[in-house]
This record gives sequence, structure tokens and C-alpha cells, in this order.
Amino acid sequence: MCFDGQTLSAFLDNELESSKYLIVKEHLQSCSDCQKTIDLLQSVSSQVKLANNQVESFTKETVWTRLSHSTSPGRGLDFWHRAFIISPTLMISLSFLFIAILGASLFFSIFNDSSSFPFSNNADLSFESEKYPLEIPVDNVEKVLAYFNIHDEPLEFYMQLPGPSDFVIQGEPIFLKKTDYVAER
Amino acid sequence: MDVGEDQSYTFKEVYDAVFPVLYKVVYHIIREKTIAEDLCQEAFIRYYNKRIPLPSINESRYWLIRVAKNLAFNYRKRKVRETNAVDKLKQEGVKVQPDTQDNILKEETITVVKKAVDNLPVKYRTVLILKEYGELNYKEISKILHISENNVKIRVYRARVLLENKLNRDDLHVF
Repeated sequence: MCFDGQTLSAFLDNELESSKYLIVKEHLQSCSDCQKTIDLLQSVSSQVKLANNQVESFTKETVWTRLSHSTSPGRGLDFWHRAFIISPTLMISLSFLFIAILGASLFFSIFNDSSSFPFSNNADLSFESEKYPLEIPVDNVEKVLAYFNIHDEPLEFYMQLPGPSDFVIQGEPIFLKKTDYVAER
Repeated sequence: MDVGEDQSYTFKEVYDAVFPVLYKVVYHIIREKTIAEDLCQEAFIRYYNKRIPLPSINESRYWLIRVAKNLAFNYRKRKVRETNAVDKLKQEGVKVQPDTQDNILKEETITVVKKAVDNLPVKYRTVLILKEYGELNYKEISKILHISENNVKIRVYRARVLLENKLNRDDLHVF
């Protein structure tokens, strides 16, 4: 089984994993086509490297001298100009932690705060009147049922709407009158 | 000249470690020694002024090579627009030693190879220069160019194939 050109090129560059390297090396001993490809690639690589030039030492020193002049001494980064590097992993972990804390605080605030729930045991929703001294919060179903068990008379429900002052909103329709807010007694 | 007080390496250490490969890469892109020096200097100045210090000399090396490569290609693009036949003659060429025929043929080979490498598509030429002149491995090249190692392997192979076709067409004397 012959190998593709890319694998042979990687073999030439010693970039294959050790196990695959040995397999290819063994294969080359018996396959003239693959060996020919390797030779060709090797030849191209050698020709390209012919044009390589060695860095002359004085070039390095020349550029260093110019660099030393163009950057003034003592320009190291001070504390306030330094950027703090936070790795992506740490950033992701902190983000999840923040989201978890936010979610937990929202969760507990919803379930612990009874005032945010509609029809909770809030005295504002109960009915209070001179005629009907009994006061049962409408959301307390058990008490209502207990009342029915005890009393046989029909029960009249009255809903006390908020006072007119609570509806003073700009643009309120004019057909809403004061009598609309008076509960029947 | 320090990069920062807390860094475990200094700017000089980075310079000593990186300059040789940086210069080779830039030179083989633009083929002008003086300009290559200037571009390397520019890359190191940008590195020095960089406000976010890099975690290691290797990371610094990848960053510098990436910046210098871009500077070199940008310069080359500008130069191609401006160049004319006189400028081509003034470019630093190969010194021909007229003593032996082998030397003459060798220099001709180098000239043709250089021209063939210059005519490669940019993405193949870049990986070839980094591999053959920069002597970097596939992993390092992938970090510099932000591509996968497999992609580097493919590009190196294709660059060699294109080069081989071109050199064979020119009937080159192989050394």
C-alpha cells in the first residue's frame, strides 16, 4: 500500500508520529515509486535551501544598536499600564460562576418574597366592612371551605376596588366615575 | 531594556532568540538586506511597545514572525507596484564567482530557485519560507499562521510540488 504525497512530505520533514514513521520507513525499503517521490521532494527541498543565507553577526548587532537608540531606557511597563492576562479557561469559569450566583439569587428571591406573588396572604386583598366583620383572605381556600362547612347561609362576595385616587393616571378614560368604585353594601 | 519587572525574560533575550529566524524569513520574502533589517527593527519596536506582555519567549517568537511576515508582504506589494527594470538591476543579486563552471551553474540555480519561490502563491510561499528558511516545525508554523497542522502539511507538500513542476520546466541543474 503506497502512501500519498503529503504523508511522504511529512516523513521527509520528520513530522510523522513515531509509529507511522516506522511504517513508512519500512515501506520505502520495498517500494520504488514512493522512494522516487521522496527523492524528488528531497531534491526540491535541497534546492530551496541552497538560497538560504546565514545571518551575519554584524547585521544582528547593527539592528540591536538602532533598537537601543529608538527605545529610550527605563520604558518598562509600569503597574498601571500593564494589562492583566486572564486565561480563557479562567474567564469561562468566572462567567459560569457569575451566572450561577445570579440565577441562585433570583431563584431565592422569587420564592422567599411573598409580596411578589399575586393573591398571597396579603391583607390588601381581604374584605373588611362594618356589616361583615369576618375577614377571610380570598387566597386562603381552606378557611373559605371551613366557613362553608360551618355556615349554611349564602355568602355574598364583595370585591373592594382601589380608591379613585389610585386610578389617577393621565389619560384615564372619563367614563369611569366615582360610583364605579363604591362597593355595594 | 526590560519588557517588565515581573517577566522571566528580557527584551534582549527575546531579541537574541528570535532575530536570526526573523531576519531569514523577512529576507526571503523581500530579498533586500537593508529593508529586511528595517522591517525586523520595526517588528521589534512594535513588540517592545506592546502593552500586553506575552507569556513565553516562544509566544513572543510566533508573534514577531507573524508581524514581520505581514510587514514584509505589505512592503513587497508596494514595491511590486513601484518597481521597474532599473530597480530590478539594483536589487541584491547573487554574486557570481567566475572561477569554476560549477559555481556559475550553482549561482544560476539559486537565482532560478529564488524566482520560482517568489512566484508561488502567497500561502504556499509563506509556509515554504517558514519551513525551509525559518527551520520551524509544523506545530510552530500552525501557531504563527493560525491554521491547523494538517493544513500546514498540505501546503508544504503543494508548495514543493508546484516548485518541482516549475524547476523541471526550467530544466535546472540539480546539486
